[in-house]
Amino acid sequence: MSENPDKKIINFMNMEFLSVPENVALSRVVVASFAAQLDMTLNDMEELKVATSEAVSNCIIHGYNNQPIGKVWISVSLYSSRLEITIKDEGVGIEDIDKAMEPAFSTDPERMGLGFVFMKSFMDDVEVVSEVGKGTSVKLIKNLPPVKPQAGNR
Amino acid sequence: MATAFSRHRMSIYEFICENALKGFKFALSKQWQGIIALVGGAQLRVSAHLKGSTLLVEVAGEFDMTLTEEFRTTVDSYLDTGMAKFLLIDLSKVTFIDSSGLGAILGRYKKIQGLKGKIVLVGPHSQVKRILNVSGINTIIGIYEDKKSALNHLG
Repeated sequence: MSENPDKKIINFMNMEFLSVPENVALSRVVVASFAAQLDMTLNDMEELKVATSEAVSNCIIHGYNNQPIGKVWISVSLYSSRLEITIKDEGVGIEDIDKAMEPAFSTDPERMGLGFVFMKSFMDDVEVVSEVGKGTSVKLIKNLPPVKPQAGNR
Repeated sequence: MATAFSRHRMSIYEFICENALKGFKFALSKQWQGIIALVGGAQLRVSAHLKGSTLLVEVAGEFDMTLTEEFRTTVDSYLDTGMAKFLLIDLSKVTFIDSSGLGAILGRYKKIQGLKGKIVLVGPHSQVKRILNVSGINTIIGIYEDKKSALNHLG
């Protein structure tokens, strides 16, 4: 086998929606439904929902400054060894990613500044790419336990 | 006149559409209750009543950014007018919470500190409690299983 088995895609889905608060719930339910095909615990599922919620909330609150003016894209890809969720906006972008990812850093006193902290503590890896004035893309990665080969596959 | 009539017709049309949608939602409600609640979001999700100078607030549903504004304005209407300085937040009907919900609770905590009052959380189910613990909010705000012990703490 020349192909890296870890990179072999098993399933994927894409969605696109307007930056309105109601879509935060929509997105986490869709991601959780997609993940339901995996053998995840209730806790893992909850963590996935919170991480997705944080990333999408960031797009709406910070990316589009709480205005229903932009699109948010989510793509979820399932590989044999991991689940990748990419959440992207074309909003204002993040000036200082390291600072934004610090605990309790928030530009708003009503917020906890825990968005990225939750994403980092609930996922195995979080990759952020952002350009001021262009937008932000956050990739949430969850490693999956190795799956036993199914009977009949060999 | 014609404009008025067409406007009238338009509103009837809208009325029919709206009610057809309601009927549709009702028909689906049993099977898809959760999802329709997300899309429709019509039910009362923050309710409050005053008991002495203690405000009892019940939050129901998913405590994310769709709920924070309603929560904040409801609670602050009592805090800002001096009607309450003790706050009991009943989370037993909350099915989900993220940092937006936590931020709204923390904002009230800060306000109540300024009023020299107290704040307690009641009855979060296990998933919600986990998020509260991960955030560290449990180290500054007491979390109680039931209303009675929470009220005792508020004294």
